[in-house]
Amino acid sequence: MTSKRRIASLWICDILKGLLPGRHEGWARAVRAEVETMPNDDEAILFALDALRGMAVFVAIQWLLASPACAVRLLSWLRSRITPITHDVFGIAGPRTVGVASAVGAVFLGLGYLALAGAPAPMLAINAAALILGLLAVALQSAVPSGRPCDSGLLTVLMTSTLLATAIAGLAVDGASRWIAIGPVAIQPSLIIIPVMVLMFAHDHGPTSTLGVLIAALALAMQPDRAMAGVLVAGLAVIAIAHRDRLVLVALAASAVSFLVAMGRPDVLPAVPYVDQILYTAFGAHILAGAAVLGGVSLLLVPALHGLLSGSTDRTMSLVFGAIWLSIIAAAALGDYPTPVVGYGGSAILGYLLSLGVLLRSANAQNAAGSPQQSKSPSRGRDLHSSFAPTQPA
Amino acid sequence: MTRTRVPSPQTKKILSALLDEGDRGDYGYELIRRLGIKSGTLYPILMRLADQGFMEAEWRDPSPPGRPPRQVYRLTARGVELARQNPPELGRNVRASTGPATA
Repeated sequence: MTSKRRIASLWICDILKGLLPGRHEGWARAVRAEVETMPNDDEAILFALDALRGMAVFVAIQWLLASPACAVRLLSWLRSRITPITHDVFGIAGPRTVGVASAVGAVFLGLGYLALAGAPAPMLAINAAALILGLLAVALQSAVPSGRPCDSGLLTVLMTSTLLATAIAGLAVDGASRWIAIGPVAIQPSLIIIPVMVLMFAHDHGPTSTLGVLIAALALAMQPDRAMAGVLVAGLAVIAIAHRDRLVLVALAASAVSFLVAMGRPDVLPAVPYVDQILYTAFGAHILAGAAVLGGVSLLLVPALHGLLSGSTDRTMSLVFGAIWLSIIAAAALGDYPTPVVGYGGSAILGYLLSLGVLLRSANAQNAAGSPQQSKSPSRGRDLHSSFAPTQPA
Repeated sequence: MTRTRVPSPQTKKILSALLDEGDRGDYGYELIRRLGIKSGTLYPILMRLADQGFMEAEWRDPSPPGRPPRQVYRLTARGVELARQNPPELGRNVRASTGPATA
C-alpha cells in the first residue's frame, strides 16, 4: 500500500518536472527514480522536498545569469512603468524615483551585508527575486485605476482573512503560527499585508475596511506576533490623530487589545541568523556589513521624509508609512523579529514595495487633484480634512 | 559555455566520490548517504557538472532486476582531470565505511 507521504513525495517530483526547463527535465525523473527506490517514506519526502528547494534555486540563478537580455528587457519595462512624477516643489526627484531608489538601495545594501556576512547564496537569490517581484507589483499598482471604497474594503477583508487563516493553519514554530509555505519558501504574510492594509485604511476607513482591521487584530493576537501588532497600533494611532473618526478609534482600540494580548503570550522563538538581531551582529561580521545594514534601514524611511518635506505625497499617508516602517525597525532592534529588507527574507521586501505602491498611488491622486486640467487649486491634496493637512493660505 | 572556477568543498567531495567509483559510477541516493549531504545540495552540483561536461548521467537497470531504472553518474575524462586537480579538503578518502555504493 502506498502511503500518503510516498504519494506526496512523487507529487513533489512532478512539480519539480514542471519547474525545470526542457533540457533539465531528466533530472526530475532521476530524483523521482531515487524516491521510488528509497525504503523509508519520511526519508523520501525530505529527499524530494530538499531536491525541489535546491534545484529551484539553481534554475532561478541560471536563468538570471544566462538571460541578461531578458533581465534588461524586464528592467526597461519596469523603468517605463515606474516613471518619475515631476511635480515636486523642490524641483528634485519625484516620489516615485525617491521611493523606488530607496527600496532598490536598501535591498542592494542588504545583499551586500548578506554577502559580507557569509550568508548562503540562495538567501541572496531570494531577496533579489523578491525585489523584482516587488517592483513588478509597484508597476502593476500604478497601472490599475483607483477602485471604489467598497472594493478597497473587500480587499482589506480578503487580505486579513489570509492572516487569520495563517494563525489557524499556518506553519507553527514554538507556539507561533506566522508563516505559510509556498513551495520551498516560507513567507510571513503579516509583513506583507499589515503595511499595505494600514495604508489602505488611512485612505478608506469605512465599515468594511474596519472589519478587515478587526480581523487583522484578532489574527495578530492569535499568531501571536508582538512586532506586527505593535506596527498596527502605531499606524492606526497616526490615522486616529489625523481623522478622529469613530470607526478609526474602534480599530485603534482593537489593535491595542491585540497588542496587549500578544505581549502577554510567550514568545520564545530564538534569533534566526541573517534575519534577526542583525542591527547588532552585522558589525561583528564586517564593519562594511554593519554600515550596509544601518544605511539600508535608514533608506526605508526616506520616502516618508521626502513626502513630508517636499509635499509631494499626502502628509497623512507619508506619516503612516513612516510610522509603520519605523515600528518594524524598532521591533527588530528590541526583539527577535526580522530586520526588514536588509536581512534575509522576501516578505519584508514585498511588503515594503507594496506599501510604497499604495503611497505612490496617493501621490498620483494628489498630483491629479493638483493638475491644472482637473483642479483650480494646485495645493489641494487628499488629506485636507486631516489634522496633518498643511495650513491653507487665506 | 564551460566556466571553471575553484570547486566548492561539497563539489570536491562529490568529484572525489565519483573518481573513486570510476566507470561504474554511482547513484544519487548512494552519494547522499555516503557523503552526508542533502539532495538539494547534490543535484544542483551534479547538474552544473553535467552542463560543464565534467560528468555524464546514464539510465541503468539496477540489480536486482524488476525495480525501476535509476540514473547513474560518472566523471568524463575532463571530470577526472578536475577531480584530480581538486582533492577534497579533508583528505582523499571521503568514502564512508558503508561499503560499495551499489548492491
